[in-house]
Amino acid sequence: MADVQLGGIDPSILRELSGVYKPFVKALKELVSNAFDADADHVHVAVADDFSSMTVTDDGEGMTPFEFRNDFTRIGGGSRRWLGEKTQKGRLRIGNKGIGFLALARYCSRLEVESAGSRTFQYVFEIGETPATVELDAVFGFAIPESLLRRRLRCKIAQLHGRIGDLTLGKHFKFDTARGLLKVTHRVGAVRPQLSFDCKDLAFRATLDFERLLELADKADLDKLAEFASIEIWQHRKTDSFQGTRITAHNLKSFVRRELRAERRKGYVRNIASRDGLERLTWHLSRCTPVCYMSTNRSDAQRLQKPLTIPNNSVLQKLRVSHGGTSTVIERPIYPFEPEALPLHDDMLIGIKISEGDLIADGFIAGYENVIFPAEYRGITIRVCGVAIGDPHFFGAEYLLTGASKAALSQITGEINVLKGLDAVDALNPGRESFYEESEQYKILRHHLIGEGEHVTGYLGQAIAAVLRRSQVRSALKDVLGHAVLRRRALDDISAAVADIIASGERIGVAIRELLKSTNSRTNGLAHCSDIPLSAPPRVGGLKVVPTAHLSEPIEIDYHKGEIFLDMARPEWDWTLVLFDRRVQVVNKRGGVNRPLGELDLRDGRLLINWEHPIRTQMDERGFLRMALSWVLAKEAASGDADQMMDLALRLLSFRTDTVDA
Amino acid sequence: MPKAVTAETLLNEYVSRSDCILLVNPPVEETRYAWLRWNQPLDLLKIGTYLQRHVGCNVELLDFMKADARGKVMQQRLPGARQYRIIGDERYPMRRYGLPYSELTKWVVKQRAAGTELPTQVWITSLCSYWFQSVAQVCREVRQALPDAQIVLIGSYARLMPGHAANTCPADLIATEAFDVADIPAALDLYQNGLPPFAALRLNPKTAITEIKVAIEKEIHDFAFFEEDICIDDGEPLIEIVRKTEHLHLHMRFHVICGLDPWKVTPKLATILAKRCFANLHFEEASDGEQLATEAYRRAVAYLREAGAKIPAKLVSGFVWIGRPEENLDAIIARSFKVLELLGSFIFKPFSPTPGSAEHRRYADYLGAIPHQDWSPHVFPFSELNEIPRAEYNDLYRMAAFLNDRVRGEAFDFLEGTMGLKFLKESLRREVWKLEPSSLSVVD
Repeated sequence: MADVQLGGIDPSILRELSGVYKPFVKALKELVSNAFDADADHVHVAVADDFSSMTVTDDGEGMTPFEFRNDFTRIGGGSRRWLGEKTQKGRLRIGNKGIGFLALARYCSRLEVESAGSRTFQYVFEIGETPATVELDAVFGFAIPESLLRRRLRCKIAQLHGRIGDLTLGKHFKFDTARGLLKVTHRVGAVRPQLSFDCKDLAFRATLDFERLLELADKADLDKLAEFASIEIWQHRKTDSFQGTRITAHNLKSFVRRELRAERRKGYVRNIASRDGLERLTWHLSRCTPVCYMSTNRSDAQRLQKPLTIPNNSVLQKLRVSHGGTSTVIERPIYPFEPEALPLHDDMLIGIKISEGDLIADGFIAGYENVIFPAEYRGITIRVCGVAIGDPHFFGAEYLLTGASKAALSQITGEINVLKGLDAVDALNPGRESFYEESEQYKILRHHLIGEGEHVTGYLGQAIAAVLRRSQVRSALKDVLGHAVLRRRALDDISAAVADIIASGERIGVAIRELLKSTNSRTNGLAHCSDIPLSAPPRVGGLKVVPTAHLSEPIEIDYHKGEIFLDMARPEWDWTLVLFDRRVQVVNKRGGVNRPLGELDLRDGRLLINWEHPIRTQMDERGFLRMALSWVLAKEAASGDADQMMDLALRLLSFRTDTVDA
Repeated sequence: MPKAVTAETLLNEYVSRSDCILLVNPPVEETRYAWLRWNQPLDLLKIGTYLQRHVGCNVELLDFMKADARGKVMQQRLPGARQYRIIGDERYPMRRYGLPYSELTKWVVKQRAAGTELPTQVWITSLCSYWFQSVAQVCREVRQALPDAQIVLIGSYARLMPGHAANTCPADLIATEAFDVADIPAALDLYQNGLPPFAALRLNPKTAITEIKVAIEKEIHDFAFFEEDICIDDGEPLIEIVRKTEHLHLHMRFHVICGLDPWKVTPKLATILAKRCFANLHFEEASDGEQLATEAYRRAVAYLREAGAKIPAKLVSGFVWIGRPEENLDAIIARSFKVLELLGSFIFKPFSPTPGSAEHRRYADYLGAIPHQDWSPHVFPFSELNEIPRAEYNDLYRMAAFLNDRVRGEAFDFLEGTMGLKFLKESLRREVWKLEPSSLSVVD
């Protein structure tokens, strides 16, 4: 084992950088992102049974020991620096900041990296004066066994100013592989050595001791910084099946283990945060790693599959998490695809297509009639290179809005894939957990989503408006239906009271029977007043009301056409009053203050109610109707007997058919 | 006014193939309904089969009293002024047992929305005539929801009190006779939304066996006999039914909830009743003149024990009449203790005269002054006649709960292993509530 020197960073900021990735799943996501950048198709996250460690294995192109030292452990490096924007498979790289290895520093005490990459390492440098001796350990950053140096190291040295051109091995320079030295033995002025090291079939195992690293970082002990990492290199047999990279986080911190071990919260659980630790980990991992979208059988959500189709080379083929003998293949969940998701309505689904400047993005925002559960789905997820940037949010709209508009946000979810733009170093914060708000592309995205100024417009504004519109329509309809149901209940109560009193065989019951046998009209003026039709209003919540009959539900709403179909054949719209074996029609009249409360017209089978009677302002519709019907019937049945009238009215008023809402 | 018709006339002249008939078992408004779970409209189910097979019309069923899968029937306190029925000094809390009345309207709305044929006739049955108020309310609901449908009253109320029914219910027809449908199997398939937890049977072997087979196919394993005399013809019909069906299912259970006369238990019948497939046996009260016929009980118990039955047992009990016109408290208590001693458990069976019966005719003047809903045995209509206050009847119920074998056996289990339990059991055994004359005198 040889020590590896960490390069390019002031140790005093190591602790700060290691805190960028939180919570643990965000750090773990970095390892999966690295695997993606290494063109892996399959990634397996194996969690130890006791949650003490976690191993991420991929089948990507692996690393050479030099790449490990110069890129994986180099702060501020990043793969893009040496391999370009795209991987060999044409994937847009996720990693770019070069702090990935520190991601897990807070969460485990030791990181073990095993990998193999069959590429040739090349290193060019200059020597100002010759003869000179160069320590190869210092050039490579770690000691390489003599046998490997002897077989795999090649060197070409060019004279910078002179006539010799390329120096000759053995004549002008030589290797001391036993001591790890390159010696330019002649005075040839300044030279440019070009070292190349063939890494074919070369594997390595490196260990990063994070406890030591953070301890050193605290002390700013620059001299000893090399002591936190060690590496072992060997030539692997061709029969070895292992390819790619395997990274194990050893000794996960107790707080991580506790979280992973956490049990599902007891009772009815709706949010992801209440599920057990491993479920939470896999769910969050599925949201922030480049994996395929989950499929859906829901017909209402299938239209989303097309806009969310992403090229195959943009995602891993399979990301698997295993623990305790069970294995889960992770797919990217979105709320509309969840089997338990609320129905998705056309008018609440807003497609997003942004193409402005360097920014190209596709996606959707969906509003729902009810609050979204699990709560973790609320908000808009922005993905760059298939990876979610932070948690779903509303681009600050949550701070601008108040009242019902703010409440509507809990009914909105969305997913936006940034196909181009926003993946630059100056657009994303380290850890890719948020955007730099100064980024021009971010400003464009924000402008399209929530607009400018203090009012939320844009796509989100449309979604909020759709949610509020539905809410207002529902609320207004509930009100309309509620009034109708209460009026009907008043009629039913009176009808049931009459039936009960007659069945009791009491004297007042007989009086009612006698009254109902007559066919007299006892109207006196109210009949000539105009009717007040208490039927459905022409418009509710801005939508046109279309009276219809025999629907499966009391109302059906077509938001596209702007029409509400109201089932007027339902009992609540029926103004018929059954009085034992007679059916009378209750008619509401515009009688004004000088007309009587009500009149009974048994000839035409009508019971007239003065809907403009002053007492109407003192009570609700149901109470007024009960009271008016009771007094009219009591007066008519009692035929001048005041006691009997009072008795009957009180019996009618105090009668209830069933308990509330029965 | 509704027209009174015989069952035969109703079927022959008022029903045709083109009719759609809704059969309704109405809810019950009562202060107490201990046997609630055994309410099943067997007459309606048999009539349903008849109408389907012989008339060919469409038949639907709305059973307000259907128990849910757990055997529970909905019940709610009556609202407003009907919360209590006040009789004399007693205040009886009133409940509606079964689904709310509005269920009928909901049913009609659903049928309309589904485009299903609406009933042209609604037949409403009744188990007891004194439960007529809920029949009247269902009539009103039908008038409201189905204004074009004819309302036909059948069942006990219509049969026993057609005149009263004509005055209290806005019906069109009243069937004054029972339907002769005993040999027609019940149409359990009329239960569209889930089957009831048990099937009721009559003692017609051929029909009952068919019904049991159908019910078992539908995973109904509990059967109750709705008969006034279960031991009729020396118990031969019962024996035949049990012998031909007991092998059909391991979990099959018969419930003898009425009609078991201790006098009529023979050794042969006892071997049947002692079988494992009998879940419970409730003996009717057997009297020998004024006295309880203890000999009949002793003999029935001996036969059952000989056949292998365990008595006393949790599910064996005997009824004791209360609320009869000429009874006194001492006699009730004496009979209760005797049944308790003989069977290990007793259940009070409150009495109400059947309209038109000998008891009714004998006390016609007295009963004539009582509103028919107050004929309910649970409010003790003969209380004024026998001069036993209703409060005393309530005390009797409390005593029964305390003395019953179930109470003796289990109520104090929470004291298991304590001296308290020992003392309580000993006190119950010695019946310490019977005070002996004390040798001490009270000094003023």
